[in-house]
Amino acid sequence: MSPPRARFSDAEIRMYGLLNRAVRDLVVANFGESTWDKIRARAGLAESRFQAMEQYPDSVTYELVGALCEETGMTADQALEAFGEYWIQYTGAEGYEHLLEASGDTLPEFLNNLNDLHTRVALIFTHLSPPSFLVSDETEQSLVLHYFSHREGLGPVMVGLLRGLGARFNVDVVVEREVMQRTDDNRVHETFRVAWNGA
Amino acid sequence: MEPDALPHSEETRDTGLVREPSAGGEVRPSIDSFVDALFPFNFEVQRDLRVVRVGPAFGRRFNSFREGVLLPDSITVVRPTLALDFTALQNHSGRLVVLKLRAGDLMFTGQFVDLPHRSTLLFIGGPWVASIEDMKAFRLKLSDFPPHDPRADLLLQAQARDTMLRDLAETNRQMKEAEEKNRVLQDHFARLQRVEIAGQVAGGLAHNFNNLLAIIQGQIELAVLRIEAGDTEGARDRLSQVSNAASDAAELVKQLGTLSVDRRAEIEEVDLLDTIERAKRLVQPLLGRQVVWEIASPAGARPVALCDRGGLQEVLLNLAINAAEAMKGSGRILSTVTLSAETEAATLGVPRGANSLLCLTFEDTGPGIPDEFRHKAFEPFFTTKGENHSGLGLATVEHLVMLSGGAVRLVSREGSGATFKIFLTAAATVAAAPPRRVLIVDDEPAVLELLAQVLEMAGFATEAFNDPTKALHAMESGSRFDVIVSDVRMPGVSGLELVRRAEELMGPRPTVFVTGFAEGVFTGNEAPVSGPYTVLAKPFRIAQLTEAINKVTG
Repeated sequence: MSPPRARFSDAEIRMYGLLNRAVRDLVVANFGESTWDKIRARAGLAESRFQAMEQYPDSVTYELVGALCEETGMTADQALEAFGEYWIQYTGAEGYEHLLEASGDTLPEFLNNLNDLHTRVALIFTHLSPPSFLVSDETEQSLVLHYFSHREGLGPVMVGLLRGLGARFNVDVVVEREVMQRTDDNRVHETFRVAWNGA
Repeated sequence: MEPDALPHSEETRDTGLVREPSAGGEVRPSIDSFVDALFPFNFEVQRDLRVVRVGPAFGRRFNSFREGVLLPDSITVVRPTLALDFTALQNHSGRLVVLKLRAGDLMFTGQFVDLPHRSTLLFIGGPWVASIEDMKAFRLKLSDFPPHDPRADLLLQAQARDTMLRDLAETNRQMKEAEEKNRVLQDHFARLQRVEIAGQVAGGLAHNFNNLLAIIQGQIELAVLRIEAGDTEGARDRLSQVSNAASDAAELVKQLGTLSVDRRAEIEEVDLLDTIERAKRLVQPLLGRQVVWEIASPAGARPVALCDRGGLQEVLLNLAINAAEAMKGSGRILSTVTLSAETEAATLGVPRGANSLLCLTFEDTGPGIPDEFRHKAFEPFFTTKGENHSGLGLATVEHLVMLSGGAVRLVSREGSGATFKIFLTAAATVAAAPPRRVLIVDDEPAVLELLAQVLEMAGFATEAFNDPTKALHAMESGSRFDVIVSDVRMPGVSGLELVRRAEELMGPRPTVFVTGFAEGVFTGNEAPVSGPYTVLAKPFRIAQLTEAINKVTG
């Protein structure tokens, strides 16, 4: 799979700088500062530091991930999954631990609150266009998480993110990425069957 | 399953409402289930203050507060100041109240609603927490706030604000760190450059020092010979020369002392012309005889700036060495001190306060700095002179001028020499005295123009005539001058006649006679004119002209 690239002409769609900062920290933690400098140069990025709450065009993130793949030899799926897993750990360390804690004590509770959280974020930051979620087929040890997004190619992030959440809640998680469809308004709709064992 | 088919009292997943049959047997949600859905932290209390019902969130988070407890055992009223009795709460119903749950000290904001048909008071509201961080202490989750409750949004906004503030603080810290690193680096560069300059200047002075040692050695040998010949007077004379040379050598060593590498910047009142003269004396041996350094200032003025004396000297040494290199060892340097045009200095951010601003202009006759390099000229390590140059000279100049609270600007263009303007705060308000008016008379147009240009540059207002009769007519018509600069031999009216007539009209005036051939004119015993005068032989240098004017004007 080729690295994902920006596919949006709508320059108004933005992402948190926090997300790009997490990409940087992931690279530095695993490959060192010099690799990050190469990736940054390859992505044509002048900035060395992202402001967490500043909004950056999606293309910045896509270019970064693309450059990361080219520089490290990782596939896009590997890179995005690694990022998703790292995201949970990163946000906890970057001052969002209390928000994570306030979002649930268990994996299913957290996933059930995921949509409310993102909906409120979308209302505060109108240009950020965060994804939305739905939980269905919930049992004691499994559920199906529906992921809706205007952005393409980021499904693997969800796989990593679910694994990261499993680690956070100290449960063994099995994630099956099931189907990808399109909604009527042309959003990506992916489903993830999540099963867990343990606490 | 369709909603209407839900059995009695079954909680639905979609709304969380409990349904009950209406009078007609129709299943409708009860009012209690509405209240529970809208205000999960509600409770109902009867007249004896016994709690008869609590909302579901209390059950989840604070289960010691439950049906049957007495309100005063679990709750205190924080605001307003109310007695915790049913009537008082009833009278306050419909208005804001702040309660505190004794278990956990969590505060709730909300209101009591009087339910007379049930003889109870219903509290509706929610927990008050100032941040998501505070929620942890009370084991609250975002899902404890009903979806419609704006408190959750406010908490998220507060979280975003805190993150932004933390980011700003971090950015601020990094900027300060970078500034500090930059300052340390600049100091380091300045030190390196000082070492380089000190080495260069010392090399030039060593040459002079060797000359003085040669004089000392030679004069001592001569003194010995005189003593052997019994000529003690002659020997004393030789030894006096030795003493003079030793004093000169001591002065050289003293000058080197001002180039101390670890010197600290100290702002003081500094005589600019004196500092330029000192720098000139220090660096002249290095520049060589083919580089002429001239100094001009508004006549008679001794401009005093607030700056670091040693730093300014280093600035001048750097600029002079740079200029000499650019001019390949032959050319002219002109340093001029003027009152600055305020707007020019203001754009460079030089603080003025109540004082005037001074501008020290440093020009050379080298090739100038190409346009494409001008914006880089002050960057450390930027040089167009090859590997043997550190490229720290102009960076150091800028740094040192900034340490003096001033600013430096490069205004030259390629092909017309380099011109640096150094803006410094004057030690006091210097009143811009009206420029002194100089009458210039010379029958040679090229010389006349040159004189006018030089004197205007030196701060004079000039009026030039190549015909002395026209100059006389101007004075007869009322023109008045403070100084006269005149050729001596001119057709029709000589310079002497012109000045004598001018003295009749204006009184004695300081005069500089410039002449290529003055023999026989100034040989008499009587003074040729009444005012102070001097004679300057052509050709002369610019500095000689301004020195001559300074001499006659006192």
